[in-house]
Amino acid sequence: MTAQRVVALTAVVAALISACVSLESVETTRPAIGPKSDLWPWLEAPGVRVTAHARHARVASQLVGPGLIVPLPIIPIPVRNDEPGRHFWIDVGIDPEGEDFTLDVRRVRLHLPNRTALAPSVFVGPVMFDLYQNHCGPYREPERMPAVIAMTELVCVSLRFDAAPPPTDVKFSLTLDGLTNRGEPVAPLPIPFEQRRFRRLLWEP
Amino acid sequence: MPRPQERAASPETLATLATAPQIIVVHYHDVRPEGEYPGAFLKSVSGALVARIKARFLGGVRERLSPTGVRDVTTPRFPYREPGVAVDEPSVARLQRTYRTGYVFDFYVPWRYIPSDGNVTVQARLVRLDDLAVLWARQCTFLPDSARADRCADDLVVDFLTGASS
Repeated sequence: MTAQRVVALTAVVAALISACVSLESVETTRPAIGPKSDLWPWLEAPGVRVTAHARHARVASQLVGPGLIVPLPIIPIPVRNDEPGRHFWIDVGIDPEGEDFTLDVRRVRLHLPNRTALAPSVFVGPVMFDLYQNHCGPYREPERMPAVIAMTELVCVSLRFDAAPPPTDVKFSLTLDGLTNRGEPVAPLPIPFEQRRFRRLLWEP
Repeated sequence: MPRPQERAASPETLATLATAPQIIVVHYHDVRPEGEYPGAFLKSVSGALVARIKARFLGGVRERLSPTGVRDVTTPRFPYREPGVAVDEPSVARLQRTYRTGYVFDFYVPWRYIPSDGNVTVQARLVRLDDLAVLWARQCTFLPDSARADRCADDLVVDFLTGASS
């Protein structure tokens, strides 16, 4: 091994030792639609496919330790138990074929246990759908009152419901009503959600 | 040797285009807001220039080729890339999903050309939707102002109609 390689390897090792590593257990939900093997599920319907992403993920537990190659000490970090907010945001991705689809946002409904179905109070979009994160991409669009929107390509709309986000183990669903193709109504598309847990490793130099 | 993003139009392409029933002309949104990454301001400026180049190019092609089936889509599209594909071109499959058949001219700023030297690069393509073949591709690089954008559009017209390298 040359001296240059030794120096480079030492630098890498030093960087790893000095880094801070966090192992998080995350609880969230995902649509219970389509094949389980799909990386992210989409509901296929004639001429269109849809998906949704509920914004209520929470970190269930967190461990923090120094470096990837120094295993100890590992410090459990208390998880914050914030009060749930007053608004529940759900991003809906709609991928139409052709140029003739519309969505009447006023007719979308959120079904939470033990309460009547909710319509969105405001929405943002249509904006670009993030195909890697599976939710609406970064946007600076203003919030709007629910209305009819036209779609000529894959878009994302972020819907706000005036209800506290439910815990991730509570079953809830969204009904995507109000879609039309060439003026013809599309049958309402139900999107139930199910809990999903995963772990992620975050590395901060 | 032409770069992958440069391809001359063949005489057959020009002949076919003159009578094609559907030729769509599109450009794309600037998707990243200003101020969140280097070059954001110039990227934002380039969005208006791309629309300008598209309009001028279309005018030039209409004047000299008189195609019958042209439709200019004034609302910009979102520049989706194919997931897992390491290219910075908008997906041609997404164009096919929207317009199904015919031909599409599209105009965009390739991500790799987010400018650091003040220049902006605009890429133009002609795509045949039936088989997603790129029949013509050319780009021009210029300091972003209206006069240079117009020259870019004029160069693209000449290149497209003659097959000459600009």
